[in-house]
Amino acid sequence: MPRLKFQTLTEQMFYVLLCLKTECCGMDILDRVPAMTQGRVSVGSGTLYNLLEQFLDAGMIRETKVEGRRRSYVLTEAGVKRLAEEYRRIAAQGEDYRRVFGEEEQK
Amino acid sequence: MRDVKRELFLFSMYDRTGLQKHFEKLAAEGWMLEDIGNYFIRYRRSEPRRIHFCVSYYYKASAFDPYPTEEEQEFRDLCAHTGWEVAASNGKLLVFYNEREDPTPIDTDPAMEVDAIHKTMMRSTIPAYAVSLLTTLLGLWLSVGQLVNDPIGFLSRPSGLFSLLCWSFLILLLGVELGGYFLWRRRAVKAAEQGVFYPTPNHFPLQAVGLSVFAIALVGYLTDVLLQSNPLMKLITFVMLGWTVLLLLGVNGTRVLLKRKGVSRSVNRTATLAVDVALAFGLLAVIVFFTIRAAGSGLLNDSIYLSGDPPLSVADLADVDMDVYRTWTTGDETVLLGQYEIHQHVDWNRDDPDLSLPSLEYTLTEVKLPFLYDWCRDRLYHEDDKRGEEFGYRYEVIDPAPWGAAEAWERVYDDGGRTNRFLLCYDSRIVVIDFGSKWIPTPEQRAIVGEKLGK
Repeated sequence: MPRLKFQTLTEQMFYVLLCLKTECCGMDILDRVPAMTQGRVSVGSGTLYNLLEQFLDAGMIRETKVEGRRRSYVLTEAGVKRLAEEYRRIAAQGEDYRRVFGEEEQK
Repeated sequence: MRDVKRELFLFSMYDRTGLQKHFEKLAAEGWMLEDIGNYFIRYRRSEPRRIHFCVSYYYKASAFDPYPTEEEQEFRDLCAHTGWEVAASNGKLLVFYNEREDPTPIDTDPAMEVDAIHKTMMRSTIPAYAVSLLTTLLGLWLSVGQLVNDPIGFLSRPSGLFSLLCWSFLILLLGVELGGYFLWRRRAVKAAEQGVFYPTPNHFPLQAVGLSVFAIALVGYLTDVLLQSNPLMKLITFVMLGWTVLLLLGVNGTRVLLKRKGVSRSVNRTATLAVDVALAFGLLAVIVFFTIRAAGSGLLNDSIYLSGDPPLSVADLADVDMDVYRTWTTGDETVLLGQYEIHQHVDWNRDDPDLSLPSLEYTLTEVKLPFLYDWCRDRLYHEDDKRGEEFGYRYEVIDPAPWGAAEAWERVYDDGGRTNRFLLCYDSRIVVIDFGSKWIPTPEQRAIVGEKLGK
């Protein structure tokens, strides 16, 4: 089931969805992810192709326009919600980290 | 200096690690990948280059597609954006190359790559291999059945030995391919959970050995057929062989031709299947036609498998006119064993045949490898012994000297009556000779048998 797949997003999934806050096509995503992460994260073209297909199936993104062979997508409400949930999960992890190491630094 | 090089496609479909390394190595040697077919890979001479290759699996594609579908082209465009250009493709298998120093790989998520490979394998290779394995197991089962029922006859027939060897190796190859794939997948899925790409196993050496064994067995089989079998067997064997080649070329040729003509996937698939079925049934029809013709012309009845006259004939033992006799000689031999059956009876088809004339039947078992001798002798002994339990007879040791043999047995009824059947052991030949009910061999006739058949 596609939805079960996305209970926890991988780093690549997270950034692909993040790129799609505004409408863009696959090639834009391939360029934006490394730019957004200062080269720390790259998404392969095969992986992106499959991810876009799975996000579409899961209703997390929708197709906005087709220009020749270039398809553009944007996040749906479900996608925005899922991305927000993921952000909260990562933020909670950050909080937990700060609490543990913050206490140690105070000692 | 040749500009094109071809090699057999001896990689597993899912062996992306092996394929990538192989293409990179050849590109560095100055051979650039140009085309991947079902059986061969073609390269063209180029400047030696250190470039990257990536094997990708596009499971929605089909080997019957005339050109990449719109969706596949979108995938190729995405790959081209990161420098990956298509070097060659064959249906679901796409091979890309990239001249950049450190390109972003096409697959950066191992779980997704394993998933794409699995979808590809389940849609093409696995069903084909599973059907082949079932067919091969059926073939092996039939061959082993024949081997158990008549081991000497089976091992004496080139086709028997050839089929046993081929079925066994095919099962090994298909087993390794199927088992190897599922084992790899299990490990690859686990590794992918940790974000690791698990390398694919390389079965190239096994495939190369399997193919070599098949080629050697085929050459041996054809040589045997050419040297020893009767004309009808030669004809059937070469018609079957030629037709198989025609079938492979015809089916593949139809598919490739229709692809080039731009015919749609569904039409191409239907036409190729139709050619396949037509050629397969055509082969069956040709074999049936030739067999009926051969039977009609009496070729099957009078088949002479053994060249020349039989080594022993009724005329060697008695003063008879061989014109009233008919001889049936059948048999074959391989590098292991040979077995020939010779029957000489009065020709019943003649007007007023004299049924009081003696008959002669004997089987010669030629043992080519000494270690098989005792096994063959025991087998021939026990074959009669088993029947004897039902019909009330058994073998009894007799003096081998009159026959010029090393060992000899005579089959006698439980009540002491003779059956006129003898088992005689010579150096590398075992003879089972049956004189029927019309005569009892005299000491002189026994000596002639030893002289003619002993060697």
